[in-house]
Amino acid sequence: MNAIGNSNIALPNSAQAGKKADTKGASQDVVFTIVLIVLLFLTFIPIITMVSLSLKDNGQIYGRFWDLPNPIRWSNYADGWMAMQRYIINTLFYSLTSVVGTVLFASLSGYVFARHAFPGKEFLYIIILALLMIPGVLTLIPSFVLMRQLGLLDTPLALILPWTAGGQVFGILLCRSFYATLPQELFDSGRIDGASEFSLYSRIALPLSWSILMTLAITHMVSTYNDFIWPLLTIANPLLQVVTVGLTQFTSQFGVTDWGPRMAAYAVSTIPLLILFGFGMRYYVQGLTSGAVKG
Amino acid sequence: MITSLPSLGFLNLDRYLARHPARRWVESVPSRMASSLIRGLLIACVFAVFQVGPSVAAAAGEAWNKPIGFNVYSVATNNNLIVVGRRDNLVSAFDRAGNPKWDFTAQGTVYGVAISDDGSAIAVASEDRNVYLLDANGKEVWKSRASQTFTSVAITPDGGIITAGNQDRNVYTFDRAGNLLWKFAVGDTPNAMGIYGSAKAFRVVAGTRDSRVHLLSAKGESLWIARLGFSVRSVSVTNNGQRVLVGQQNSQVILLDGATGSTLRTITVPGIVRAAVMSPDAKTLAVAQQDKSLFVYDGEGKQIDQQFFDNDIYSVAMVRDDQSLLVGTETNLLLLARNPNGTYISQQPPSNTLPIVGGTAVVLLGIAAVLGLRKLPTGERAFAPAARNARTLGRTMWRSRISYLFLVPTFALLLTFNYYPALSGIGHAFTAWVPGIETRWVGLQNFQSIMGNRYFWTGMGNAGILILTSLLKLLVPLLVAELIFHLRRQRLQYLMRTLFVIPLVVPGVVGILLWVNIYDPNIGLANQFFRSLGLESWTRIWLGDEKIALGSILFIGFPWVSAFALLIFYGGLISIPTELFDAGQVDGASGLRRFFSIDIPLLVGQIRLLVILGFIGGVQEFSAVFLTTGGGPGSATYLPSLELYYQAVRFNNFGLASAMGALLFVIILAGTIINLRYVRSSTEYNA
Repeated sequence: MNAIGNSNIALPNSAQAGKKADTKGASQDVVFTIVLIVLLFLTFIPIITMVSLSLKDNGQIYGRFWDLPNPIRWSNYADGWMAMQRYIINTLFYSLTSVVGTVLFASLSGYVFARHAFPGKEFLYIIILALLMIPGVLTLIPSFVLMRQLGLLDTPLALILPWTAGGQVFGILLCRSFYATLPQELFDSGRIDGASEFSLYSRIALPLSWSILMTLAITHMVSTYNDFIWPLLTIANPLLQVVTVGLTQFTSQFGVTDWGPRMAAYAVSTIPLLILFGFGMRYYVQGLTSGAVKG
Repeated sequence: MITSLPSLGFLNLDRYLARHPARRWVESVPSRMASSLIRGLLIACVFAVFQVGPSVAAAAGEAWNKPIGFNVYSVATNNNLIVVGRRDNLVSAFDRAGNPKWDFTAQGTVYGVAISDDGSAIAVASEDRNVYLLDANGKEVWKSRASQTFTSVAITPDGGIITAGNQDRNVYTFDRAGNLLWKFAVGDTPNAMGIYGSAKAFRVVAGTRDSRVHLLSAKGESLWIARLGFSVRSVSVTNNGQRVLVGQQNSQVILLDGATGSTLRTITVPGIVRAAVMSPDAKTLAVAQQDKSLFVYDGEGKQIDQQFFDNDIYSVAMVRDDQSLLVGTETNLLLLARNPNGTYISQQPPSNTLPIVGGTAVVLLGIAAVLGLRKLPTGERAFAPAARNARTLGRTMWRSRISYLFLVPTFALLLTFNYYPALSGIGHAFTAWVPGIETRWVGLQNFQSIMGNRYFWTGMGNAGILILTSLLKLLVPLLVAELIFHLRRQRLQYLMRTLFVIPLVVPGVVGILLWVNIYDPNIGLANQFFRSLGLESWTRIWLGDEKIALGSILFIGFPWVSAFALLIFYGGLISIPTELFDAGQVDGASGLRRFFSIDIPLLVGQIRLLVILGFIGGVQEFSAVFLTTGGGPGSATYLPSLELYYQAVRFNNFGLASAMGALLFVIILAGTIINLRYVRSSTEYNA
């Protein structure tokens, strides 16, 4: 957990490799690299297929399946973007709103659990942790009915509120462990200077936890962007639909049965995550490799 | 498949518990007893399930009872031929005595069937977005495709005009040759269709989900609209068009004047209406209800008879000449012959022993789980301090009011959107639940119904296979993590790691849809690949063949290098202290020996995490099947969560769906506890 704040991951072991092992090590590298490249190629086959088909018209797909796209049909991407833009903007709006809420509430509660002492603290914390044992399948239908009773079906709040609520659980856990490692002197000196409880959180704790909050924000963004069954249940209005569900309705919505534009739409739908990982993969990888998640 | 990070917290939970004395609970004797009790009960449950099957009671007289095996969504007859539309995509025809005549296979569940008086024209509405016209021998005459599912269909007595309701909110009307005469937008899904007259002069009745009944002219113009209170489940119309019987999805059946659309009579029935039919003279009304009962009324609304069935009733039809009733249930097709006094030859009462055994097992399972959890010392500890001096406590709490204030947003959200639904799910598992209309305590009836639900149990079998393979699939990311970790060049390590993580940018749904394309019979990569090698005989309809559909779904994602699992394993490897490897090297442990003696024991935490997540994800898996086969062909690729979804969304069985959710929750809980216990006690390495 402690390592999560550092920006680089310690990579031990090979520095100590003896000189006489060098030749053996080099040939081992070659073999390993070849195996890895084969696996990489197989892993990327669906993505390669997607890109290739997205640049072809029907004639090319049915007639010359194995040829490279020629001529390249860029117009497929125009169609794909037209179909997807609404969904992408919707999803970004829902996801980002939920990310902001989650990060805010999780860090605030995580901070309270880490740095405050009050009666019932451990009890409250345990019942939050207990939520990790509640699978989505148990709450799916009752949540849907709740949304209907609250009149929130077919509104952005039907997604934003439950996503925010659910995302907090993991966030609180992450934030509490992080805030617990900060030195007490920081907060003591803040108190002596007359800072209020809230500004101890907002002016001291929050700025120090930038990195962990990025990890939380990115993981939450990825999981909400990928959510499928909940929007499927709660959003019926095509104008409010999200990317994942919108994609599955692509055919009926636009009468498009051609694979080219459809593949282009699939490709377009990866753009937000592409951008997100472009600058945030570091945080995501750190979150998983730093030992934050292990027994 | 595993993208939701929130579940990661499991291991932090674990770590949290490990820091506190709570850890002992997993090894304590009572919990071991609890877990073996749970295991025993699970076996008992499975055993009980196999005992339950559709009960085939041969009734006296002309009445008969035919096991179909699949839900009978619709039934129609012309006195001689009986046609039924089934959940497994088939239209089956029987003669009057119940002997099978022929089957026709559509590409999706059959929601509606209708037959002309001479039996020469049979109209079929299917989930595959087609309306079919079949001849008397079940041969397809034509079909017509729309953009969405067809929900219901009707045909004129002379077979000249076919009208069908579609989920795209239109009514489609065709002539005998299959030409579209007109389509009419009714505002919401027309769930129930009726028609009367002949090819020359006819009128169409459409009952919609937004509780309206439309009468449309032969030219497709609106003649009247009746605005009722609840979603319309069925319409039945007399041949002269004078009376329209409407079954609403509350407890009302309404008889309308066919000329004006005004309400003549409202009959309130005890349960929620599934389907209602009437005789041609409008003097006998049969109403099938969601609580597995069938009530028969006369034209004045006086009850003549009532029947209770073992299974959910989905459809009902009346034989015109002697007013026998055809009833389509979850598993069977029954013909109830009519007694001279107007009542119907009754069924044998359902046997009650097995549901009791099964239900008791479920309850005991729940109790065992609760007892197991109470052994958590953390749980006990949390309650203990509360008993101390109440006054001091109050003062301390007041002093900490800021802390509580900061927690308010979190708990407000959690209480509303997490705790409440969880409790509601468990509570409603024991009710017949149609939100806004009815919440009735039914005890263990839902669990009893699950015991006999073959889709659910086929799904459980498939989920088991899914979980086992997902565990095997973990070997690939483990291998890749090892290979990357043992690369000597740091930059190469970094490059490889990054390349393997890149596929994360593809949303999970897109990943599955891409595989749907790869499996496409014509232009899919799989078949194209075999064709290019000249192996035409190896090509398959990957997702449409009952024998290989599940295998095809399991193969999705090949070679299964999950970036998530890879990063977890890799993170585990880089956190192993270098001294251990050095020591191992001195002792001569290298290669495989090192892998098994150092790496694997030190990765137990990661392995356990991924096994638990794989188990939880497998039990709940939904989109991999929903997006590929929708559970088909037949029921070959059903999963429990898919059946849960269908029960809620298609059939409004919210209580039953909640019960399925609760059952899956108990299974996940038991599985997780067993997982934690066994993996920990047998192989954990204590550094």
